[in-house]
Amino acid sequence: MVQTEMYVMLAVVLFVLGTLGVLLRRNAILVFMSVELMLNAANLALVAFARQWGNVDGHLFVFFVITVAAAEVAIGLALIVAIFRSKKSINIDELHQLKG
Amino acid sequence: MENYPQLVPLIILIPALGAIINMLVGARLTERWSSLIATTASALSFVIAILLYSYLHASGYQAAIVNPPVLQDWILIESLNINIPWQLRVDTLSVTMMLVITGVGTLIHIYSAGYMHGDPRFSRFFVYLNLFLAFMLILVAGNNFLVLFVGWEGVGLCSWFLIGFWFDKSRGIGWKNANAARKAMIANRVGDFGMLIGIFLTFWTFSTLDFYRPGEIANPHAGEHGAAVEHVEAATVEGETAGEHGDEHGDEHAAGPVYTDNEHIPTEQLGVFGQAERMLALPEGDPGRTVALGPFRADIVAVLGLITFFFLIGVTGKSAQIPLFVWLPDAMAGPTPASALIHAATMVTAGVYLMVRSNVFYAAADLTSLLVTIIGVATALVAGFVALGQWDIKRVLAYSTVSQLGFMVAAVGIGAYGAAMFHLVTHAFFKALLFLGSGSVIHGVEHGHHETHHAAHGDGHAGEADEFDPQDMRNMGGLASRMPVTYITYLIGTLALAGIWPFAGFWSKDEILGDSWVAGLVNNELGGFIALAGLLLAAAFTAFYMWRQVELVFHGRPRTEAAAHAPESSLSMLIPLIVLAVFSVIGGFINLPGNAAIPTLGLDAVLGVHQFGSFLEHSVVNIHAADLQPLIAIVALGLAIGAILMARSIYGLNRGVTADRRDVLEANASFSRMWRLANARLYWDETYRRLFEQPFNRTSQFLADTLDWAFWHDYVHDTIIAKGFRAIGTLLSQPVDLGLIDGVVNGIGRLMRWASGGLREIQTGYVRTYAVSVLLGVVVVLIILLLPYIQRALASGN
Amino acid sequence: MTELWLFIIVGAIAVFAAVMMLLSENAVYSALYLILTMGCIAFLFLLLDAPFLAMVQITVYAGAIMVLFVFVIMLLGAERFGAGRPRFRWLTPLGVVAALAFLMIMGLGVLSGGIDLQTPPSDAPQLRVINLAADSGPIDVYANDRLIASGIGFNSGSDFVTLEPGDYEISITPAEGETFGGSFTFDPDTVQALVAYGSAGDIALSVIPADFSTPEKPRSGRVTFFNANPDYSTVTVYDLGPNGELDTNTQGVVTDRVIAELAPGEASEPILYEEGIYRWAFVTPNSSVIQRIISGDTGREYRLERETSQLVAFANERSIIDDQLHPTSAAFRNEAAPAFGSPMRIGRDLFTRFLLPFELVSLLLLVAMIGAIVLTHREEARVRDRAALRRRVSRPLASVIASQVGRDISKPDAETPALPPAEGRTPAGD
Repeated sequence: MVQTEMYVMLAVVLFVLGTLGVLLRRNAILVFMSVELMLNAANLALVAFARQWGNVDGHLFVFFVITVAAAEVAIGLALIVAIFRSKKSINIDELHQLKG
Repeated sequence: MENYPQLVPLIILIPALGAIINMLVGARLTERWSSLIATTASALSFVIAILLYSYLHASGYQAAIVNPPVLQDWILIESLNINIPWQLRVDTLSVTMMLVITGVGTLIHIYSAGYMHGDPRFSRFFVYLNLFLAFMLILVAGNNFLVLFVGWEGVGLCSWFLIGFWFDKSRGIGWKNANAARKAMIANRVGDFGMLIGIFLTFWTFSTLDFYRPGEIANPHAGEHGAAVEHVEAATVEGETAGEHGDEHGDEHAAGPVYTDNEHIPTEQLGVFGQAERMLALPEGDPGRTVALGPFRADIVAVLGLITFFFLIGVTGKSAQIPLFVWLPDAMAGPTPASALIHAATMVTAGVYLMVRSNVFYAAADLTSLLVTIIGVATALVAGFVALGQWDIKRVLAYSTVSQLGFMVAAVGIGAYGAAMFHLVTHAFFKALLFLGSGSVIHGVEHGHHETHHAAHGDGHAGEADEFDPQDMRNMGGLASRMPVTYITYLIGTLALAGIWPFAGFWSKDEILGDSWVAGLVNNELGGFIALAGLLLAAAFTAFYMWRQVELVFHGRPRTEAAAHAPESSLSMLIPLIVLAVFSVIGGFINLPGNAAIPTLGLDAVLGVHQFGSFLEHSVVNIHAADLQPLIAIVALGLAIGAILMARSIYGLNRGVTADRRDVLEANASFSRMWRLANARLYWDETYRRLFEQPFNRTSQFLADTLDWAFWHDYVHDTIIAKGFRAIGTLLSQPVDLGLIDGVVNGIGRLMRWASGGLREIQTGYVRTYAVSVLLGVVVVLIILLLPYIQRALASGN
Repeated sequence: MTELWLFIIVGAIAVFAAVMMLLSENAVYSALYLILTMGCIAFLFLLLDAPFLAMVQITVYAGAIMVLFVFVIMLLGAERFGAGRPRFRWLTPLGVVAALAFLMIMGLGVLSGGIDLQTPPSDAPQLRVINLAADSGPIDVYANDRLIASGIGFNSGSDFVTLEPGDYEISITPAEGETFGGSFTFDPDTVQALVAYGSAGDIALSVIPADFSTPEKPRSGRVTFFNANPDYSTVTVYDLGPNGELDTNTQGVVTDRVIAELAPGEASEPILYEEGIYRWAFVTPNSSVIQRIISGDTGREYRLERETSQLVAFANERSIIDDQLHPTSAAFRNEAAPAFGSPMRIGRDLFTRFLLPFELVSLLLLVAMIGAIVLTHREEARVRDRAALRRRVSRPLASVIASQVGRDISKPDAETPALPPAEGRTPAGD
């Protein structure tokens, strides 16, 4: 059996890649997808732990994460569409009106 | 019989109760009831006084000290050893005074019922009369100086009440009455100052104010030279309540040791006089004789001299001696019964009582006694002289009172305490008689005036301020036939006052003169010489002005229509006159001098040779009995008769008043100036005004206007305090409040704005910056959380 | 071994795909790469005994969410974004550094954390009480003077009770009669049944371990046999032949297969059987009593369901007909746990313990749906009402509006506000 450690490391690597995507890409959709990657990494870690502990709760949590991610994506993409309509751009560097 | 002394609180309480009743409900009672309550109270007090006298007589004249309930521990500070109880003393001296006060007082109550008839404040008068009785009885019944002082002040208060009784008379007379009352109060106050200093000194010296403590015998040698030495018991009645039976004490004492003197009592437990006597008995130079007054040390004699001197000041105030006698003539503004009671018979005698009570002090203080004599003689002469020139019937009597008080005071000064008391008693009788008689005369003249003049008359008996003064002797005359009873009694009083044998005044005045003869010519005391000479002259004056008065008032023809129609007074006014006249006749027989004898009519206990003196002896240590000095007696009698004849020759047969209403002596060229001087009362009041009143007013005005208003109020308050306060306020508000505090507060606001302005920049609006910051935060948190693992990993060389 | 290689390969593909997703300029390519990553992750789920989640991942995540992404990318025409000048130049290095720091820390933490050395905590022992004592009436059971079951009637069992591990004094209190008891030790991680057997007046206790784990073989169940009848010294459980009768050989020896021989109070091991019909019987010595084991519906056979754990007992029961004790067989069926990661397992927990979050999340989805519609809704420009609208506008207001809009709207205007021209010009971006 592959050790849980390895799975968690893999999840960490994927998470870091997602973080890099969030920080470095300027396309809002790309940022969003990076966030999805991060969520996936977290899911992987959860399932790995669930397997180690023999507890199905981990699976259930993943189930909820997926569901909420779906909802979030729906809303987020709708927002992006709305923003694009008004600003003709989804470069997040241009979306800075809400500032101090 | 033994517990009659327990009644002594009642003797005070019953008149007080009468006063309270009349005060509370008197306005709603009829005149009859109001006067009845007051007179009954007074009469009951008299009855109690008689009971006390009988007790004394039965118990061998031993004193009793009574503690009334509740007030026993009046002033008690044990840690400081201050114990001034409210104690009453029943001994011969105090009972004498009580008898005189209550007896004469009752008669005057009866008289007042008739005199004050119709007065709108009838019951109030009786309130004051009863109140006066209560206070006077406190004065004489007290066993220590402080209780005496309470009564002292109280009678001063009542005299203010009574003098100013008609304060509401119109046309300025009310003001005059009020002024007279105030004058009496203030003059008395000056005397009280001296009295208080004397009391302080006494307390300082002896650590107590009690005359005699329970168990002390005032005069261990009383009765030795007279009757056989009675078995004297130190019978003192000292109970917690007035109702406690004294028999047990008596029986106990009967079984216990019997003392005939005070040797067994340590000095600290003696009363004031006992301590003084013991200290005086010590030889010169003995440390027990010195008294420590703060940093000063003085011999007991010197201290006693000081004490007696201050008491003397009080006496001059209360008993109207020089220099404080000026209030007494003005006090005649009060109703006549008041004058009779307090300014003739009782209050003014309080000073004499005080001095006789303190005979131990005075006997030891020779210098002060000399001063006392001088003052007494001077007063007697001055007052007698002034009385010659007075037109007001009551003013003559007032000055006569002052003069007779001078007699008593002089007697005390030369050490004739018994004579002084004797004269006090007899004087009470005939002076009260004279005053009441004058009241009767005034009453009659008023009635006559009202009958003849149908002018409207409103209030009061002393007459309104229309030109007719019912008290002016020039408006009288020939009243002998119109008012016979008044005339006869007045005549008796006059003869008694003048000192005509066998009336009361002869015996008492003669005793004083005899004692002064002995003191002066036998004992070679200066005071005696002065007393003899002065008093003889004063006696002559007395006889002269009194007969002048009789001539002007009763003899001759009526000078006015009012006098012609004056009716005799009512029975309620006449009966006291008669009773007092009887006493004026036989009063002298209570203390006949040595070798005179009269039938005693069975009243052995009261009348007789030296009876009064031996009665008093038990309370007054330094009393001595005088023998009759025939020479002096005859000289005095001769002087008196001569003066009467002279007065008759001058004033008799209608010659007294000239046509223009001037005195015949005034009209006479050679005597005119003297007479006018007498009439002007020696300008005494005017001198006082110049000497005291005006400087005092100027000083007080200065203090009030300049010191208080200009300096204190205007300058200090307005300038310093107000301006200063405002300056501080400005200081606090301007730089401190606005500058400092506002600066701080506003500064904080500015600081906040600056800080928030800086912090605001964090919100860039760029999501990526937010993300980076989140990531950084997460990294930090992870480091913190995973620190042990990281360390482990690094340590294991991963 | 195989698993390891599979893991390495799939993991590498996932990482590669993720990197490519980041680096790709074309957004659609990025989305596709992400789908690949998700597929790899789904495979990894399979490796981790989570078949259901693997399916969900493919279906929902890769199949719906990423498709939605692709739709939106297409809609916005964002597949080609020009590389503009980055706004914050310092952000890139900082971000990289932070992310690498993150990676380092997490890696160190994981590697030294000893994840695999962790063991799940022990569960508390669970116990239930089964009453197989004849004539005992409802019994109350106390463990260390704590009431754990009350009113357990004959042939019925209580619910499972969680106890602290340790020694216990169990006492059985029948409705009438004496109390019987015993001492037992309950270890953690055990699930046991406490069976009271015997007759009234002599109740004995026996503890039978229960096993509710997933049967190793699919479509099978576990059976435990128990002898609760004190009247016979031993009872044998036979698997009867096809005709359901005891098969004896010519010597009269029973030739059916013996499953177990049980003394009173003894239980057999849990035996794994495939699901199906079985003919079992309790046979007392000398075949005096042959008690068939039957389930309710057939009367002659016993049906064994899959993934169950059953307890079959031989006991005495007082008949209500003739008020005599008769031997009888009793069976207790319990569901065994579904396989780990199976939909049944997840569904069971989802609909019992996690029902509320489930409902909330579904509500969330509904809201998200509505929100998405609302957010992207756009008013259609209705040309035909414009004329009517214009007529009603007053002159002064028209001038105000004109100043706002930039042209006079009071006159009928043939020029309608047009959609932005679909030029080739695209929003700046990467």
